Amino acid sequence: MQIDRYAYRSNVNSWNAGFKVLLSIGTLCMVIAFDEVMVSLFVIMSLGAFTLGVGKTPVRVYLRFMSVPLAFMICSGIAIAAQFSSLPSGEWNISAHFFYLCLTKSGIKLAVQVSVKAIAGMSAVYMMAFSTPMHEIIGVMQKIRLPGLLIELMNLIYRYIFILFDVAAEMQTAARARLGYQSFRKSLRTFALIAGSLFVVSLRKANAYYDALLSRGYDGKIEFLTEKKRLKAWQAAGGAIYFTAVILIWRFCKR
Amino acid sequence: MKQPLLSVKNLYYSYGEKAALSNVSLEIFQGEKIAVMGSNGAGKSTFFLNLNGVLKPDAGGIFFQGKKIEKKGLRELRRRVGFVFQDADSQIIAPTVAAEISFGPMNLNLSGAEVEKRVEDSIAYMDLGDLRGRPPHYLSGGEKKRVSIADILAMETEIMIFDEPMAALDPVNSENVEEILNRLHRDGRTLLIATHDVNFAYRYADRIVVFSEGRIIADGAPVEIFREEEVLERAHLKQPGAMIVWDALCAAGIVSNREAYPVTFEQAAEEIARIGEGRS
Repeated sequence: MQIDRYAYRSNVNSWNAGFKVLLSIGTLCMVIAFDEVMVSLFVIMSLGAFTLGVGKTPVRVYLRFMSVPLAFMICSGIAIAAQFSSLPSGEWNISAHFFYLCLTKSGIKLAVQVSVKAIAGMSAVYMMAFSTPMHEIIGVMQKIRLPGLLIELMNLIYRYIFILFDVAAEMQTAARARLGYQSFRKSLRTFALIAGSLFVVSLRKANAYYDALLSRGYDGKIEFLTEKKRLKAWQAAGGAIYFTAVILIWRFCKR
Repeated sequence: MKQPLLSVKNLYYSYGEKAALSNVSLEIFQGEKIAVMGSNGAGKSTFFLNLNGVLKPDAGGIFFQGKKIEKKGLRELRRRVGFVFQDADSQIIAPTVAAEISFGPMNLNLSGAEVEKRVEDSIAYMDLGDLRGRPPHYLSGGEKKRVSIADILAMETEIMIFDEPMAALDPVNSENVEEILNRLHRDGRTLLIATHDVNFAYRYADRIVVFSEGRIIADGAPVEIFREEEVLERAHLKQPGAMIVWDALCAAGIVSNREAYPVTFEQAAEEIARIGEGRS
């Protein structure tokens, strides 16, 4: 949710959304298909630099968002690298009396490869998330002709989820002001009450929203004017050069 | 005689068993600014939703420029009458301000260029240029209100209805809204405004319609309405401050012309200052 707020502030927000989605998904595909550490490292560095340097996303924020998948990566990296065995079969072995914890060179290599690839993939997706507001990504989906119903639902959910969160936060504050979270038991009860009334409020508000839709001439189709952001030639050229660079690095490393 | 822009004749509406509107008749003329008053649950909102074609009346008719709107033509009514909801959040649905304003015109099946033009005009009129790409959930209350007004402006309806446009706004923002309402009136729009603010209704409207228990109990110029104590009591209304002060000044023999009520507090202050100067 928060990431959306930073997307609006990004300097790259003014770029054509389709181009950014293509760049992000294209890079993601190449990272997965090439499966090459050097390519992944290049993508991590270059897209990180792009998001921070060109988009001007705050470094602190970027690192915080990166740290979540990073934690998973480290855990799974260890799991990939280490193996349990009854014999000391690895290059490094730790005895745990009943079994050995073995580390092999190939295991470590695989772990690094997988982790770096995953982080590169995250960089590619974050590049898009930190520069393209949700509704523009929905707009791109509309352009590639995803079903209209899906698009409308996404647009409405995107709008109403914020209202739902606001109302929930208000209820929570009101409950806290009346000591609703004093103990664990009370917290559970309060949570249940809020969840219940949130449902009732949603149903009631849905009626008001529907009336408002009707009064503005709604006839079964929700359509908006989308703002056109033109793709500039230098941006397109930059994208092409970037893809070429990734491919060249891959070719070079393969040899 | 001048033909009314919109007229309502013997309108009835009920929610299930409960009658919400009974025998409501009203004529609205081009360029009027009408304040609609009455206690909570008096039927104002129901009346508006009927005018707007969202609710279907049980009986009675709505005529636009003398032509009766048939049940099938309710959609037509929505092109003629725009409704700015009290809670901007229940009106706003789009992910950005510009997209939001385009929703109404898009439903009117206009050409792309025409929709774009109307969105641009509305953005300029409501001074929303800086916010056009912003999503509605990052706007302040006053900004949301302006967006919800721009929504209806872009539909270019002959009549604009406002349901308590100043509710939940701070004094500066409500002053802004009042300024916008004045501008809309100068530009020839016909306005219907539901409000509980007697001082606002008194200084702004040139006609007040009072609802009570689903009926219209009074309809006339503000000064006349606010003199009828029985009406005020039934509709849970109070006299505007300027009138109370003026009546007191009359009773004390300081002011002789009882009819010349000042419209705003500022005017009253000026008058009193002038009287003071005359005496010293």
